[in-house]
Amino acid sequence: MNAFGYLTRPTPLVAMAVCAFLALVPPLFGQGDLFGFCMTMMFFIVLAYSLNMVTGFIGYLDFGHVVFLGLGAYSAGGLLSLFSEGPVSYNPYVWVILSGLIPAVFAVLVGYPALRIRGAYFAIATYSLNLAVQAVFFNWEIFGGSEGLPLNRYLKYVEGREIWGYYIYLGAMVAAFWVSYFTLKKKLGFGFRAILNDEDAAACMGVNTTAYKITAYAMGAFFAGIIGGTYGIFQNFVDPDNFRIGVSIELFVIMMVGGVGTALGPMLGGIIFYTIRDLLIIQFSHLHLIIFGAVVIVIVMFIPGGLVGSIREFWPKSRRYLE
Amino acid sequence: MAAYLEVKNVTKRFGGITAVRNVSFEVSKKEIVGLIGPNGAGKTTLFNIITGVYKPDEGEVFIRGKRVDGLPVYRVARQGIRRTYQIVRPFPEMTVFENITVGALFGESNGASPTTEEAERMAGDAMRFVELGNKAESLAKNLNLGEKKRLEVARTLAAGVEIILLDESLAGLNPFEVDQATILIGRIRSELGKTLVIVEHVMRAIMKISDRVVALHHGEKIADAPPAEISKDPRVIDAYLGGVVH
Repeated sequence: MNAFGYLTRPTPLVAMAVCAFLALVPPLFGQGDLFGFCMTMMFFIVLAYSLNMVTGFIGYLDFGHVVFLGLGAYSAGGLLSLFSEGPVSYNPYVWVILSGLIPAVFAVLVGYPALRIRGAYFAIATYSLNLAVQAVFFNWEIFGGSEGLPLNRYLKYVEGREIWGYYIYLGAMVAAFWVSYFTLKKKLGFGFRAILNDEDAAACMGVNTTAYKITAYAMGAFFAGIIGGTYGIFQNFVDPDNFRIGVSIELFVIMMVGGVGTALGPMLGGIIFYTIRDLLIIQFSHLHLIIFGAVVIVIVMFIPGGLVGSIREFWPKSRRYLE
Repeated sequence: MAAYLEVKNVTKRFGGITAVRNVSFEVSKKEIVGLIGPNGAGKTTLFNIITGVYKPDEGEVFIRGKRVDGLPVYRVARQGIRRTYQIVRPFPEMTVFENITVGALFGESNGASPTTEEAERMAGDAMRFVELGNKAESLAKNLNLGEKKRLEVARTLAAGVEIILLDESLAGLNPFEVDQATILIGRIRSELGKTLVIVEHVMRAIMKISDRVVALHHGEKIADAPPAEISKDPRVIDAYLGGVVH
């Protein structure tokens, strides 16, 4: 089936319809509330896709996933500051490609030892990794230490930073969807799912589990880093708060609401999560976290497979369409 | 001709316990070798050593003349060997067809890994061979025990490898299923030309299909002979089969 043929299948059709709508938001509605809403939503969706590549594909609980977001932010922002004297005359978003590659290389180096440990121990290790890297940036004076690194002196004459950021997020979201979608259909995805289901049995069937796990980890790091770099330049500022653990937890919720290990799940989860959260903040500004917590508990208790997973559980034939 | 699978003076200790002691045996092409012995005799440990899950403390393992002990598990598998598990381990959240497709995708018996289309064709063939065609879309976790065991066999067949180790594929099956499975194992050799090593407690089946039986007791090989001789061997009777009650 060619690329156009895949577009006519239900799952990509839904995903691309969502992306097309998001692409039309800036020209149709300007850069107002909806623009900001969609931008934050895409930020979380791409990060949820990147977490899904680790936790959803190979089943390793990455509680420190946000480390790649922070590293991406520092890769773009930090390199921009190191290699610029004053205001830049080029598009600062060129640094974003490095903000994807540096975390991916870091993931390969760290993943080799870290992915040998399983279950809760891996979760603790990644959580600690995030804290350790955050501590390094808290004390690394060249990148501003605990005060962070303001980028305004380099970016003040750059035009259209918001709109560039918006479309890079959107591009990353489209890419994250297709990468997830095709990965799950190909040999790589079968290897990932074999590891997810039973790592020892997978190895006995010839799956190079170490290489596959590192690949998944690096894929996740790449997308998280891209978002981090874009976010840093968009915000004009990078600081150790980019490693905030709370973001990792929100990503887990998004992934679980949508459907762990699926191609459509993170996108649906992100839309639902962010819409509910926004509505709750507007309606119950003080109570929204409590209500939101209750909603999350109900979702996890009654539809543990998330939206996509539950539909497939109750209606097995939908597997063919819902990927 | 040279042995297809050769286990040479293998010893494996766990702390103070010697699970396998100085065991050697050979398996020739298209042979069915039964591995018997009481619980704890070291049969599954031996499987784990052959497939690379455990590294032997002493001794060597050769697959088609190539030494494999000490290699990572997936590289031992790529020498052309697959196994099933005593306690079944299909991939529970994948469908029957997907389970078998994994087997085919990572089978590299002829040097090149198959394309997705080839793998799906091979998976389809293996699925029909074990008569699970009507369960293709079922999740593996929803199968009954007999079906799960057949699924594991199909997964090894789809890989297209020459040597298959079956770890108690008949345990827990009812007599009818045992007969069916015994026929299936025979067909794996006669129709597909595979070489098989089977661990089994169901004597009726193992005596019928094995060319040769290796008996283990307390980690040591006590006999290695055709089934007819094994059933008369006094040491095997004493250790495992049980003698006439006086």
